[in-house]
Amino acid sequence: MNLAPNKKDIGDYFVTWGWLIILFIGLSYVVWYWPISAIDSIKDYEQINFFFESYGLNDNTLQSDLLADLQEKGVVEVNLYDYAPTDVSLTSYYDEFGVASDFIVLTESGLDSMFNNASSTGVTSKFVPFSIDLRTATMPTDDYEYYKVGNIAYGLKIFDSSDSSYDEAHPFGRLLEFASTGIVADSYYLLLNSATPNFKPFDADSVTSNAVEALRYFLAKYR
Amino acid sequence: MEIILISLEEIKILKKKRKGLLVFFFGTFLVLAVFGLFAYLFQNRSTQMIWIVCGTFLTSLWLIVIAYVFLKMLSPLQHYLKFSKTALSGSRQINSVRVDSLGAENETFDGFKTKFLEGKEVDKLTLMHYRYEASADLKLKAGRIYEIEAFDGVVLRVKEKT
Repeated sequence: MNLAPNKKDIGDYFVTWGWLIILFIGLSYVVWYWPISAIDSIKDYEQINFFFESYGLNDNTLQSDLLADLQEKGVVEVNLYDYAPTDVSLTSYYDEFGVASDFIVLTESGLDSMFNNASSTGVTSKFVPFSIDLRTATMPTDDYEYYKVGNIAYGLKIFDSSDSSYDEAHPFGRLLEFASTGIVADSYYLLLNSATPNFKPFDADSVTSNAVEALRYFLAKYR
Repeated sequence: MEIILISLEEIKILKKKRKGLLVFFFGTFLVLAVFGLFAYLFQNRSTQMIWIVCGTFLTSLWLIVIAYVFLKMLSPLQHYLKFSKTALSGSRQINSVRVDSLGAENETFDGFKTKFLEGKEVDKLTLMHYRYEASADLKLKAGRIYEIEAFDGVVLRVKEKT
């Protein structure tokens, strides 16, 4: 029995099984694309994300400057998500981007409702507190005010709606637009998300200290 | 002149060919697996598209070749091997036949390709229809008389009668 391939058999094979060959090519692409893309996808510990509630970004250099600063530490992506406090889809955006962001900027009224009955909801476990050690590690001068639950500081004030001298000393207004015409002004706080793995050693589950470095950079940039 | 198409020796040769095809299958699979391991070890974000393109090309090529090997080589070989074993263990028919014509077209019989052979049985003049494995080089001449041994209409052995 002669099994050597010949032109006719090969031609017949391609005509009869053409659909299978196309399927093979598609399948091969999926088999290679899917795992390699998964391996090379940007991991949580390689990115720093900011979720802002504000009326707009005034500074578009934070993203590139912070990335340049942290690239040596393995950070490959910095993302800024900014949505107006009055946006009707704000909750959806928060669920999509906020819960996975290292830094979250929320309004004081938002925090009041969030931390209402904090002891029963366990919401405090979702944020890394501004402990004395964390402050020492990230701030040359700790002249900030904090949003406290009990005696623990969970939010760092970045805008005071009723104290312009505080805002002049801490000019985060260079980055974010905190007021909008026709809207009652509110104060804003920065919170640290414990769900991300970047707050080592201030969060037990973290694997990198990239967000701590980012916080140091962020606070120094807007002084 | 005697031509043997199916015999114990032929079965041995068929088994050897089957083993060769399986070795080819596992060998090429191993090569592809090693390539996959290299891709896993050496790929990175800047070279990932090169690995994906090369991997897709090699995997597609392998699947196409292996499908050909299974469909066009291993499957008919398996069927012919099975038929050969059955033929050698069953009762065969031996006739003296004056060959009229050898068919040129292939027709699949029991999973393998065959060609037709037609002739008339000597003395009785009964019209005889045979098949033989398509790649066999019988070189029979029309008008001559041959002793044909067959099973289920498939030729196992042909011997020219003087």
